[in-house]
Amino acid sequence: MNQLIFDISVWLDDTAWSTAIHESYYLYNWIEATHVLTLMLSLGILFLIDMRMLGWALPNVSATRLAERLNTPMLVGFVVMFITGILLFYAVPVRSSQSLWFRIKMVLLVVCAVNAYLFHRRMTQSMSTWENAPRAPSELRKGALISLGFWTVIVLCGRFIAYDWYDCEYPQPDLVRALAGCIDGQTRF
Amino acid sequence: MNSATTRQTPIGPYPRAAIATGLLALLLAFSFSGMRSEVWTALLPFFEWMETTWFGYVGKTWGGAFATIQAGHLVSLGVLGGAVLFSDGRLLGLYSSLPLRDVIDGSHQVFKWALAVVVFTGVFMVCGVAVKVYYLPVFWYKMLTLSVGVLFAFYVRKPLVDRDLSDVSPLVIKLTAVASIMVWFTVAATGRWIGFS
Amino acid sequence: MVHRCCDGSLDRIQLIALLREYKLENMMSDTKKSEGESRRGLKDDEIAAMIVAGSIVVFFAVYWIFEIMSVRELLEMAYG
Repeated sequence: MNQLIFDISVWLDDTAWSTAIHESYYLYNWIEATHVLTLMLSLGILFLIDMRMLGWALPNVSATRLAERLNTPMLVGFVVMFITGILLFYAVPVRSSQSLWFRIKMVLLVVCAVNAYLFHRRMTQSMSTWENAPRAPSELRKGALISLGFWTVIVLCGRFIAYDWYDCEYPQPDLVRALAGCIDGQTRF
Repeated sequence: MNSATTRQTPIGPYPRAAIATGLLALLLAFSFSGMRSEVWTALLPFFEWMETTWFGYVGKTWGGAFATIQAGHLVSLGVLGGAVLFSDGRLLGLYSSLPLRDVIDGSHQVFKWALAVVVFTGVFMVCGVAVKVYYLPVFWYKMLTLSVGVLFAFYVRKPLVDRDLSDVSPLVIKLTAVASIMVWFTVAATGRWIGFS
Repeated sequence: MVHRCCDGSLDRIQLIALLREYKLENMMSDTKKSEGESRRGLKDDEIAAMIVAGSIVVFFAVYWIFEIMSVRELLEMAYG
């Protein structure tokens, strides 16, 4: 699996556009800045919704109506983050694919997506009973707490990607090498 | 019935206008005279001291601690931006099915907490790289924009939106909302720019 | 012709009525004054918001235009 990921990353790295983004004067910085600034749209609104579910903010606003009305701008934000995230990966594919923090981030993104789907389903099934209550039912509160926690860790992992503490080009413990997908004898990083 | 709140203003309109004009003249004189570089030079010892504090020591010694605090800065910036976009979006007429007063008041509470965390984590980060950011023009742009944003949010926008908004001109409301979004976007963008410098 | 029952009592009743009328007039003018003050206060906040917000919008629009122009010049210098 790690070999497959490595081979695909090397192939991507060899494409002209990848090199163009990576070596461009400003483009990589602009893509990264867009990725980070869109946090305000996507994550900011998501956290507002989660805090409402937990009863920590906006207690007088109907929780389900808030979630419904803010769904679209939040999804627009996530689409922009997804696109810029793909471009950032595409610019530096080998290092990104072999970054421990990047892999943790991807796993947590999948977990958050599943959590969001389950949350949305439970919310639409039960909304008529509690929509104006200051706090959502306990199952939805758990989902909101999971969302808050995991998204914070995702941002943390995203920030840690830039650091080289667990990079494959340095000697690492076996566990780190296994999790990061380091290939013995690889010539590119 | 006019349900607008009445405020007692201790200073009359003419003295207020005179004070505002005086402050503006002072600000312009400061910006375009030698006073600015003198003040900047005088601040260097303070920034050198910041690097010797506990925050500065932790930030310089453990990159992981610095990165963790920076992630906290990003998350709280995200929440602040979300509160601004939500509240100002409502003022611009978006999400009209949500009650205006509750949205504005609720968002402001979130905004205050997020701003407090942003400032705290920002001070921590600056302590770690104080002398470096001292020489970065973009850092000073960010501080200026942040100051403008905070003053605008608490002393211009809040007194306006605390009123009964049906009494306020829609153009003024929308202009205020757009200005608020622009200021906080610029704060975030200049902050990101520091990272590239 | 007014029949005065008890000496001074009708004067007192008239005085009380006059005082009540005076108090009512004062209260109404106070309400009008505070409504007027609040409308002036509202106009002050509106003017302050318009001037400051307008300045912010104009300043940042000009700032970002110059930033984008300087980035374009830099890119033209770098890539030709």
